[in-house]
Amino acid sequence: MDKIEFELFLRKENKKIYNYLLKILRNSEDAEDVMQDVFISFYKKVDSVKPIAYESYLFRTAYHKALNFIKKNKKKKSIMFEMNEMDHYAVNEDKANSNNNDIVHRAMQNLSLKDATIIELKYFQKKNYSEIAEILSITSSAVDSKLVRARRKLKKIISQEFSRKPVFENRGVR
Amino acid sequence: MKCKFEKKIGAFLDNELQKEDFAQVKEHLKSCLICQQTLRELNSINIFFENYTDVEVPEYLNQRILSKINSSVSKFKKNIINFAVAASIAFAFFSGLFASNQTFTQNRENTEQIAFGTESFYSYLDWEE
Repeated sequence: MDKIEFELFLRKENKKIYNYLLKILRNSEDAEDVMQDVFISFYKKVDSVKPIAYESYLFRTAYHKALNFIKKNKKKKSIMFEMNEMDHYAVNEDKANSNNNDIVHRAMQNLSLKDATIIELKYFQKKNYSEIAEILSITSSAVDSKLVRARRKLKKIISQEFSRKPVFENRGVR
Repeated sequence: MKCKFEKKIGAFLDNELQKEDFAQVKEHLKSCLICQQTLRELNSINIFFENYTDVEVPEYLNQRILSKINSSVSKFKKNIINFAVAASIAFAFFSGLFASNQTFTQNRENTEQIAFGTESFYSYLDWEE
């Protein structure tokens, strides 16, 4: 893939990766750093990937980069977490009713990365079970059961969120 | 209470069941309150996502990625040039070393030949005596 092809690919796929990262990471700066890492890593390894698999490879890269980022920042987050999240909640409380994105982000961040990713692939990327299975390297029946479980967890989080109880927990890597 | 059809509700909702299975679950749902409840529960998060609007990627982020790619490419080229220069120097050095070694060997052979010649000459003289 030359630089021109890469730029076209970046402009085609950037929005979905950026929005995925915004949903699963704590702030836009983190999402930007990880996104940069994702596309650079993709560019370096793309020649060993078949063009038909570019999209799923990119998403898999994003998932793993986000996982590494969360692992690396776990310690730092746990120290800073309570204060930052309470600030975030206070600042955005009024906006929360009108800004659905904010609620979605917060709900997704309270899921494990795997659950959030499976929800992302199903509801935002509109992938079917076999496509999700390919991206996450699991079977289609595993997608079925994991999706049911993730939906139930999300439903619980949403109920808590709408009842205006802060639901923030310190998400580690699960 | 559980229902044996309950585990198929997710796939039913996502339209991932085979035609026959789909019809069977659909029929079952008419009379099973447990499965109806599960369907409602799983379906309810659709509404939650309905008003989500994708955020645009800031242009400076695209530019940052593209410039990193360009600098990594030119870095790669720079590395190739550095490697080529280093290889040329190494080649020149080893060629020089090989050439001087050849000259040394040749000189040694010549010296040995001369020595051998002198020896032969003396042995010839000895023999003459």
